[in-house]
Amino acid sequence: MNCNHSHYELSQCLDGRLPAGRRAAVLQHAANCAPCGAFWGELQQAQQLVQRLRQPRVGSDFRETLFARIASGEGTPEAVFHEPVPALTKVRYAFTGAAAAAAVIAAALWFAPGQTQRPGAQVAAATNATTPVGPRAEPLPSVQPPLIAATQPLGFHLVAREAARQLDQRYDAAAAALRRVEGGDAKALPTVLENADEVHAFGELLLDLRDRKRLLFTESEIEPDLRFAVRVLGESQRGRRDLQTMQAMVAPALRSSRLAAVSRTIAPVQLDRSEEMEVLQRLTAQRPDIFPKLFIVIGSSGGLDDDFAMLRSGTAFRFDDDCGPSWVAPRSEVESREGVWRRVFDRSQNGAAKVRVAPK
Amino acid sequence: MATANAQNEPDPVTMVAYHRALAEHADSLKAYAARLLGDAIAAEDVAQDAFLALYRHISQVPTAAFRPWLFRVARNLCLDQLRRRKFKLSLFRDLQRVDDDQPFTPVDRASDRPDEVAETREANAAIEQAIEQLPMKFREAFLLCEVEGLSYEDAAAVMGCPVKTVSTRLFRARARFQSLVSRLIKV
Repeated sequence: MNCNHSHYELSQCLDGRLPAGRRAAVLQHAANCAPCGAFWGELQQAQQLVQRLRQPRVGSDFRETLFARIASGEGTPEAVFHEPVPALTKVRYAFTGAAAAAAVIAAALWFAPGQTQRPGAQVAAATNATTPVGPRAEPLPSVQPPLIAATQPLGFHLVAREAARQLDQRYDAAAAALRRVEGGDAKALPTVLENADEVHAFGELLLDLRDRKRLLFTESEIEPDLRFAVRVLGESQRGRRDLQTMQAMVAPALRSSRLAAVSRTIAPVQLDRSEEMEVLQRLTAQRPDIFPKLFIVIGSSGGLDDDFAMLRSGTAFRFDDDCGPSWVAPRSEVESREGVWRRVFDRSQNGAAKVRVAPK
Repeated sequence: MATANAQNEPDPVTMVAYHRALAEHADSLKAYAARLLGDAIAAEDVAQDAFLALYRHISQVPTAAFRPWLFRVARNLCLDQLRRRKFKLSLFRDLQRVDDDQPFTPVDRASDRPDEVAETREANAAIEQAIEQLPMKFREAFLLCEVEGLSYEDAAAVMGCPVKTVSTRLFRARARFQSLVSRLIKV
């Protein structure tokens, strides 16, 4: 009997969900298998612990208040039948929105007055001289090789590495701002707190992956330092966002310079595809706030957003969901390339925004 | 807030069932909401809103389904509140501060030794903290089945997912919970 499955069945056994024959077989296995026997004992112990918890009681005026509300004719609160939108659906909506935004930008570029030549027009003219050069003669620019052509599926190890990279960068930024504050520049305080919050978010994600045995730290000192920083920075978010909190909590949390090199010390564990998907789905479902901090949607099946054409081949990744594929790029990559390229925001006469990228 | 539904007074037999539900499930609903929201005062409001909703829709809810229906409504209300807050909540963090008169931990008996009382309080705080640390989906299954004792079928109706999913989430929640309270478990 597989011990992992045995654990699952023991959990069902605890609730009386197994047929008698199966229950006997599972308990027999637990009696002969030390790990499963220990797990079974712990399951029962844990259940007893939970049963010891005391339930809070409603206030003494609960009934009177309720019946007063009923008597006053108060209706059903609106949120009662409101079905919450699952986080994955929100992500799908975000991707659909990104696709729509890309389409709008493409359309704006297409019809903008004064735009004499659209992207890809030269290629079209060269490959088919008989094709009339006009707005309706050419197809919209679609997926642009080689950036898109070279994409790999987005995997959890990329998520972990990007989180670690972001953590390094935010730590550096926080530490630099911290030195400015300590030097008397109080204006740098918001920068310290903002970057410390990011360090907390990315650190929390990495530690969660570590706790789930999805990654390891190759240097033993990193993990305790990171745990300390995440715990204290988490506490600091509940305090007042002022100089005192910074001195008492944020500064000690950021004391370890090892946090500037977390990305060099993580080793993601090899997972199969289903486990990869589980990690990614859990991330998007439980922390919808953190995915956009790690990856930026650069295109969808409708094509690549022109604004990201400066990315290098191999830096975009494919993310499949129910709405079809989308392409994302690590935020650190986008930001580093933005340092090399600059965006030119040009407004045409009718106000339609055009977005281009050009070398510095 | 929606306007009042034009409804007649429920019949006496249904009202008996309603009062019984009130007596049996109000505390459980408050506990469930408190552990989802981390706010005992808001949790009491959620419990009351759920019972108000039940009264308004009592003709559509079979008596036997009162309990999962109430939990489902409480869950929707809690998720709505959590969504509105837009930031990560730490469950129970402020609970003892705002609700000192309604402790989760057992009331200390005069005969108990102080060191035992302190130990029990510490253990209960660790258990509450372990529940808090469970991921939301696992925590829901854990609270409904393990803490409140709902059947898998009722929990599935509350969570809006298949029974198998409840079973899997509960298993994972238990495994995670065990690791979190391992120091309290003496096998």
